[in-house]
Amino acid sequence: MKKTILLPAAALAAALFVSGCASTIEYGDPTSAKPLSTDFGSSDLQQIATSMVDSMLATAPLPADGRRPVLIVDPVKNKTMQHIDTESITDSIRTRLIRSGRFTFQDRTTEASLQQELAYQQQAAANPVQFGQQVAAEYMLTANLSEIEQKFGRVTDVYYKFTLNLRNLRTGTLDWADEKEIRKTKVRPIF
Amino acid sequence: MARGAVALSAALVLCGCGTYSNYPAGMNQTVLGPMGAGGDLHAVQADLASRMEGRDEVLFAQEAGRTAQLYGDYAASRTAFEKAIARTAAQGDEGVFAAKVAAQQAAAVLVNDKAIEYRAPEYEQALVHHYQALNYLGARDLDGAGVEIRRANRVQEEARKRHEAEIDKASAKSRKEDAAADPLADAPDSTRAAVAKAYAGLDEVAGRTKTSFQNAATFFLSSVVWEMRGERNDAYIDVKKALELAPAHPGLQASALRLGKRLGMREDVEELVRRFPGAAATPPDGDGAYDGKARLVVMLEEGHVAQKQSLGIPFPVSGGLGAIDIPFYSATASPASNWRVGLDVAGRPEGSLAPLCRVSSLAARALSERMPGILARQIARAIAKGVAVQAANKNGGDAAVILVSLWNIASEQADLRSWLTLPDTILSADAWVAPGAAVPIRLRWAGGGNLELPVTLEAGKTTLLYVTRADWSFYSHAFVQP
Repeated sequence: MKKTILLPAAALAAALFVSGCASTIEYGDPTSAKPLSTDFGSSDLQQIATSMVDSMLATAPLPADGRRPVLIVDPVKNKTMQHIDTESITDSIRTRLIRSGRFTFQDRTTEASLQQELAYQQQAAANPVQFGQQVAAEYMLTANLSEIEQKFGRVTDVYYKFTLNLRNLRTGTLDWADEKEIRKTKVRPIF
Repeated sequence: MARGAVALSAALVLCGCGTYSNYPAGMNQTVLGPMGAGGDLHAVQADLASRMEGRDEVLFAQEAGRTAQLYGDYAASRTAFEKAIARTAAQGDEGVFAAKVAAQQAAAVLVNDKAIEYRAPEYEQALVHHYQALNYLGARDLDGAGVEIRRANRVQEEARKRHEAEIDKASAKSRKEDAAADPLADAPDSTRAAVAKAYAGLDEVAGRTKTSFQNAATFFLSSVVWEMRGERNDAYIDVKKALELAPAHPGLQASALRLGKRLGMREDVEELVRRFPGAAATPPDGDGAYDGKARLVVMLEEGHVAQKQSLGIPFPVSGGLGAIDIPFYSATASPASNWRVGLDVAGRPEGSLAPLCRVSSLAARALSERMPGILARQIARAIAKGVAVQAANKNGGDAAVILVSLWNIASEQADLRSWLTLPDTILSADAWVAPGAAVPIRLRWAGGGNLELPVTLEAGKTTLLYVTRADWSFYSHAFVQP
């Protein structure tokens, strides 16, 4: 009799134990703004790329004749205390600008492969692309990401500032700039 | 009687009989010995890496990261240091009175302080980032090195702020003469005298430099990384911080003047010229005097950081015998001024290396800051163990009292854990020299002995030669600016 009572109880406990320990996996919203830590996260990256590009498209003094100027994007400079994949921010900004259909792009990051391909064409292709045919960039986009962290007792306050600059390569002037700030606060628990 | 036997065997288990738990003797034998004798660091590192878990995770991750770096495995070193950094950050995020911490503190009251999870003191945290920056330099990743340098500076800046706040608090407290805060208030006079003596020695080691909570070597490395990145302003700030801590360093004086003049810091430069007339003629950065030359920075690590020792003091408890065992640093370790090393580049003398910081002083300072907490736990423990003796006396007779007293003494072990593969002293020198491939760099020790290394020097770029000497072994790494 004792056994028959114990067995279901043990089985129940085992069931609870097993279900309690299984990790759950689900799809998340890539633009969800719920912060998980004060570190620079994916939603911060999304926010920055979106708001900076929107601001640039709305306010930068670009040619009015509908021409699509040639742009190069310089990799984002990481001045924070975290190892951030700044190439990913650069990619997000560039992709959004491409989608806007208002620019033509030069890509310096694939320069080595391009040179290799051109060199190969000169030797082996029937109608090789000639050197010196490439279109020069008119604008250069540069960006900085910096971080200031302050601690007061149990509170940690982290401030990120992202600055985007558009430089006119023909005149050398800085034609447009904007910045976006993100502030995150963490409170250390008592218990 | 039976209870006493169980307690004794539990004590032996908890005191630990493994090589590494017999700290620091086990480390000397298994890690520092091979490190100083050119032994197989690969095997040592693998052994340390396998211990990166549990309450000593941070400690062994630091040791594993350091040994892997010494034999040039930057990737393994980076992984180990990342683990130490992540765990240290998680410790900082734990609740102020987290249940886990409370449980460890309670266990420490019953057994000894080694039951508490290892938390790296600030000087170790700063050095983790210092070495991690070297790992990134080894991978030719200046961005990554910059991140680590910023983190190191944050730790050092927090140490300074905390120190200033503590001075304010201590002066306010001494005005009140709060006798109740003395954890040894009720201890016997003999115990108080013994503790006070050990404590005085500790202050002597720490007190040799007033700069015992910040290290100039990390600030200097920081300035080197900033200059490699072309960020003169940041470099200047960190050189000035290093100079504040090591004002007699000729290389720092020259760097501060070189950058200050270039950045147009007129008032600063006037002040620097007044204080350091010997370096006054240093040309500003970017001057023609540096044209076609390479900058060679040599950083040299000498010796092993001081190890904690334990001081056992008998502590009579009612009806039996107890003991308290406190960690301390002996004041006899060799001072930094003993290291005199000359530098030759391609056969020409280029001055000598000057000390930046003494890691042993930082360690002693960190311990003295933790001492009030250690003593408070010791006293709580002595009382708890006294209660056990009383209970044994009442229930088990003489044999039980002897066993419980034995357990009290056997389980009483000072917490001697600290990062032991660190050097004792870090020195540096700076030279602007003709570039070339495999240029012979020679370090000459005043007490005899030379080390010659071929290094690549590129015009307009910096080469950082990082040398570690441990007893009879040298470990060297050359980082050429990408």
